[in-house]
Amino acid sequence: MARIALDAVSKRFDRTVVADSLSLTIADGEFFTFLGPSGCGKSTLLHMIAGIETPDAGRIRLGAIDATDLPPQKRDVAMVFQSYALYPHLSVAENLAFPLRNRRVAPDVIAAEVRRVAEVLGLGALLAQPPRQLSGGQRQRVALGRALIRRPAAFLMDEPLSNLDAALRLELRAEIKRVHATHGITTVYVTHDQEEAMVLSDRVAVLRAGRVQQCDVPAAIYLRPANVHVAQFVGSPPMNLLPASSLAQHPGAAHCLAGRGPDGFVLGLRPEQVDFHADAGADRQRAEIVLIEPTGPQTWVTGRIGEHRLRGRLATGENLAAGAAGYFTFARTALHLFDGPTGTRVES
Amino acid sequence: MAAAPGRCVKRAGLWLGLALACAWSLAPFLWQLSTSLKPQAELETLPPLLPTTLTLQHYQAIFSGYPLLHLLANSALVAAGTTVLAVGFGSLAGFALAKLPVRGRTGVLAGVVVLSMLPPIATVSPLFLMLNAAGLRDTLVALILVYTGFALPLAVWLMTQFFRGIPSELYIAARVDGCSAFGALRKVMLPLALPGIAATALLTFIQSWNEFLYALSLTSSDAARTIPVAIALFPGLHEIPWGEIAAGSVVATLPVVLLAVLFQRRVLEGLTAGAVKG
Repeated sequence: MARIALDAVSKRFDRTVVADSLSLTIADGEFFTFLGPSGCGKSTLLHMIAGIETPDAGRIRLGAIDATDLPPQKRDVAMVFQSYALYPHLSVAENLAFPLRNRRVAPDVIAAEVRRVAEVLGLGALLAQPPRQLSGGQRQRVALGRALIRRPAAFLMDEPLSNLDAALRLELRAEIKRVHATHGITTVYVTHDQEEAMVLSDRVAVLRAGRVQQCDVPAAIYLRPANVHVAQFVGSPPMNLLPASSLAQHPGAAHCLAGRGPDGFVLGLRPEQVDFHADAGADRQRAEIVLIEPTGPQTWVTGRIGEHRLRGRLATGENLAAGAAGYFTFARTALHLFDGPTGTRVES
Repeated sequence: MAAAPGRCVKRAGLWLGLALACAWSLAPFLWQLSTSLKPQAELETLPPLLPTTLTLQHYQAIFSGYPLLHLLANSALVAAGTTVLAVGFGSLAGFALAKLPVRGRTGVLAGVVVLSMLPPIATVSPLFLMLNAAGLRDTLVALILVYTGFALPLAVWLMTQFFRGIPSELYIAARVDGCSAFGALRKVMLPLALPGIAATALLTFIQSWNEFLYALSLTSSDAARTIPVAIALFPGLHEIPWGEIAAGSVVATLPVVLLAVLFQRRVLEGLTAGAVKG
């Protein structure tokens, strides 16, 4: 088990900046997630930790050693891929045994370890089968087992759930959380799915254009997003962002601005903290309803205020239709204030 | 219902086309086969009709009159040696070009294509002089070296394409699972590239087996002569032994045809299996 430290790591491919002098430390045993949109270079970060890619500048430390120039086979990390990457010419048992064989572990020890891992992940009945006969979920279990079998210093997981359908994704997400809880192995997880990141992680780093936008515990990222990019990327549906002037009549907005003029500021409001009502009332602002989206547990309502749109929940017991007028309300504590030009959070 | 006759016509056209193509390719070989089995007296009758009686006299003549087994062995050694070298180096180069961070990869591949377009005749005399100076004239080694040189561009190109078809994650997984770059090639990439290796080997083997120009120019005795050259030297001063030439050609063709039939299954099976993502 090991601490992982990135020290001023930079990497670019042609014109794409993958990492721009990126520094962070992942604690021993921590579940750490890189969260960012597809194609922002998260996978390359994992490849650099694994030793598949070398950084253009900066150092990477695994535990006490500087691993920057170590080849992958000497780094003692294990990797799980979105595409499973099982060896198609080997059976499930041989796939599981592969990392141990490469380390010249004795055959009887390998056999015992394969049985142990197969039992942990419920793969006992599949050991003799080739990967192509397994379902997606089974394949990813085998991939997890292949990573788990040699008790590596760190797990690197590259969108391991993205190829699975919704039900399996939840099942394997729980499995990954359980494996981390029982084995306590430092895990670096890469995903574009903010919900996965929130559910699994001890800490999350939100990436954009090769820079860490915010690195904190999931709750802090949700409750106090450092800038508009984080605010919009974390949370579903994404946070409403409106120029402060469009909500200026609301007493909450005035309180949030605390004497500053509304120009040059952006207000953020999470849809789950906005309630839409059919009737006007105190502290309720009018909006024209343009879209109703029932999801089952709740119904999302999109309203138009001037030229801006605001999404919120349909308040319990209310009924609204598109085209009608609605009245929304929110707690003054639900407001987030951002600087307009830079997008950074302003604590009010 | 209206579509059915149209489809029938299409089908018939397809079969007719296939039949024509088969006939076009098979006709010369069948003519050779019938010539090799004809009695001497019927050899020069035109048109070349089917023989009235079958005879093995030409086959007996070539096996008793020439060191045919020795010549076949020469051909087999040269073709096998070339195949091993070309597939070996071709796999190494193809793997590196497909999966490793090679500087100037596009340049190398372009160079490979350009090299494969060199007309062999342009290189005959320099190669002859070089091999002569190296004391390799009239040896199997000389033929293997020259053939390998000419087979490599195709082998490198084909193997690069085959390795590209294998997902990079498998290579990365093997490296992370404890393999060196070479170990990953040996334990994961090569087994998965087997259909590609079979296809490349088959093409290289047939090319070397059939090669004529260098085999003629770089050999001067039966020591290193290959079967196509030996057959071309069958004609004597006063007569052309068509029957023996035909028999020799059939004997020379059979091994490659057999090889192709055997490997084709494997190559095709492998290609379709590899297409489905593991």
